[in-house]
Amino acid sequence: MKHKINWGAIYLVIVFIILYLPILYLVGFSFSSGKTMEKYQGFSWTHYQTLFEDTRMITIVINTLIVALLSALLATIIGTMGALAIKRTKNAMRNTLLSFNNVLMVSPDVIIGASFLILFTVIGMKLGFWSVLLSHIAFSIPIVVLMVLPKIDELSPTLLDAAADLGASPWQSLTRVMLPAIAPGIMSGYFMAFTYSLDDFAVTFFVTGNGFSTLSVEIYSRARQGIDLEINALSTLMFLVSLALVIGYYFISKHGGSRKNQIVTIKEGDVQ
Amino acid sequence: MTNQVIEFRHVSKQYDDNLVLRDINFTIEAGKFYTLLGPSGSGKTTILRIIAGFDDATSGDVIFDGQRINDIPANQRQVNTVFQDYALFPHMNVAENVAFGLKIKRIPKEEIAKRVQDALHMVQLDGYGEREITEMSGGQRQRVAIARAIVNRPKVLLLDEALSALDHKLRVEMQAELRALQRRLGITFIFVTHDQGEALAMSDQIFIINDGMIQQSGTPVDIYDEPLNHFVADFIGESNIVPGIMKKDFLVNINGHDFECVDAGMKPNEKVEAVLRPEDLDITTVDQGKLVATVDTQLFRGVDYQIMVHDEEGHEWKINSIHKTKVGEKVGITFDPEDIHIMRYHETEAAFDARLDSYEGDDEEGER
Repeated sequence: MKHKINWGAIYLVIVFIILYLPILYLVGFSFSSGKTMEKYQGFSWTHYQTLFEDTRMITIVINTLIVALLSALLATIIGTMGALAIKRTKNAMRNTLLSFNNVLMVSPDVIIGASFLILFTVIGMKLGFWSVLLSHIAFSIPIVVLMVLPKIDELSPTLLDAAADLGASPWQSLTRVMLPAIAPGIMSGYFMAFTYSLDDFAVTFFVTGNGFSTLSVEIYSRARQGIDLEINALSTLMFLVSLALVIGYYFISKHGGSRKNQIVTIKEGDVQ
Repeated sequence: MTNQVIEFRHVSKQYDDNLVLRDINFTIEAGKFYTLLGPSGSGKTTILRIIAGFDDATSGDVIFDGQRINDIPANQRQVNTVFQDYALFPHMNVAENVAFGLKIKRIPKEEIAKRVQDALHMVQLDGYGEREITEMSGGQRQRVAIARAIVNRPKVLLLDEALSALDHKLRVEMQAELRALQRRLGITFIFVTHDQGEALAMSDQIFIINDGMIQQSGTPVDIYDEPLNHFVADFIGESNIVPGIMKKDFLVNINGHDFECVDAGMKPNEKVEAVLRPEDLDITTVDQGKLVATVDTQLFRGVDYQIMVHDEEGHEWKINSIHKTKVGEKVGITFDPEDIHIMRYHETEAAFDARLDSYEGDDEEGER
C-alpha cells in the first residue's frame, strides 16, 4: 500500500512554523553581539547583561508580576464567588448574568481601557499602581467565572445535599465539599487571569500614570524609539516563563482532571 | 404507639402550580424496612426529601420522634441518605468519605478510625479505605455510600433509588444484603424505588404512591394479593384486570360467565373489576376448563412460559405456566375462587379494610 500524504499534518506544521518563526527569530537575535537585528553577529550574553543591569526594567518586571499575581488572586476570589452565585440563580437570571459576563469577555480591550480611564478620571483617582490593579482585576473576573462555572455545573447537585445530610453547615459544605471539588477549575481560572494580566497592553496603556508602568507598555514605548536588543533578551525570558506556565498549567489540569472524573460515572444499569 | 419515629400529618407539597404531594398521612415505626413504591414523578422522592430536610412541605406537619421538624435544617436531622447517584465526594478517598459526617461532629480521631473501619466491614469493603473513588466499581461505590450513611448511626436511613444504577445481578445481591444489613442494625430503612420486584422482596411495609397520593399501604403479600385499585393491581406484578358485575356476595359475573369468588360486601349488581394473576391461571383440557381459549403466543422466560390466549368471546388472558403448550391449540383455563380478587371502583383504603373485616372476621388469609 502506498503512503497517503497527510495534508492536514503538513498544513498544521506550516501554520505553527509561521506562528513561531517571529518569536524564534527574536530569540535568536537576543544572543547576537550586534546592536541591531539586521545581521547576526556571533553569540553573546551582552544583552542579557544590560537587561539585568537596567534597574528601571527590573523594577517594571517586578511591578508587572505583583500586579499579575495580586489581580489574579483577587479576581479568582471574586470570580469564584460570582460563579457560585450564578449557579444559584434560575434560568432567565442566569442567562442574563452570563451574558453580562461574556460581553466583558468579547468587548475590545481598547473600549474597556478607555472606559476605565474615564471612570478613574471622573472619580478623581490618581493613575498608577492601584488603577492598573483594579482594572486588571475587573477584566480578569469574567475569565475566572467562565473557567469555574463549568466545574460547578458538572458537580452532582446531590453533592451539597449529601454534605448537609451528613451534618455539614452551609459554610462547611462550601469549604469542605464545594471548593475542594471545583479546585481544578479555580486553579485554571487563576492561571488564565494571571496570564491575561501579565500580557495585557491595551487596558494598561490607558490607566498607567507617569510613575508606574508594566512590561508590555514599557516594551512598546522602548520599541518606538528604535529596537534595542535588550528587549529581545527580555522577550526571550518572558517567552520561556510563559512556556513554563503553560506546561505547569497542563500538568495541573491533567492531574485535576483525573480526580474530577470520579463524580459522574455511574453505570447505567437496565432499569426495571 | 410508642415506637413510631416518623409521622406525616396532612403533608402537601406544591412546586409553582404543580401539586406534587396531596395530603399525605402515614406513620413509620422504628426498626422496620419501608418502601415507597411508585412510577417516576409520583412524588415518592419528594417525600424522602421532605424527611431528609432538602425540601420543605408546603403544608402539614412532619413529626420525628414526637417533635415537629418542619423547620429543622437538614444538617441537624437524625437521618442519613443514600443518594441515587451516590453523591460521593470526589476529592476524598473512601475512608475520608465515610469519615466526613463524624469529622463534622468533631468526634475524636481514634473513634472515627474505628467506626469507619466497622462501617466498611459492615458493607464488606475491608481494606478499601485508602482507595480513590475512581478506583471503585459501581457496586462498590454503592457500598461506600451506604457505609458513609450508617457510620453516623442515624435513626432512619433513607435510600433514594439506591440500587437502580446497578446491573440486574448486582442489584439482586444488594437487595439481600440491604435487607440483612437492616436486620443487623435494627434501624428504620425507608427505600424509594420504582421497581416492584425490589419492593416486594425487601420490605416489611410498602407504600404505593401515585399522583402525589398514597394509593395503598401494607405488607408485600397483602398488596400483591389484595390490590385496592386498578393502578395498584397493574403496577404490582402482572395481572389480568377485567371488568365484572358483582351478582351477590361471593358470586361475580365476568364476560357473561358466573364465577364463585371469596369477596363480599358490595351492592348487588355493582360494577367491579376483577384481578386474576397470570400464575393463578392453569391450563387444562377443554372440557375441564372454566373458560375455553385459543393460544396466541408463547414466550419462554426461563422460570416459566408467558402464554397469551383469547377466549371464545375474544377477550385476551395472560397466563404464566411452567408447562408449555402449543400455539393455535384450544385449551381450557381453570382457576379457584380465591384466585379472583374483586376491586370496587373508587374505594378508599379505609373502606376497603372495613369491608374486608366485615366478612372475613379476624382470620388472616395472607398466604400465597
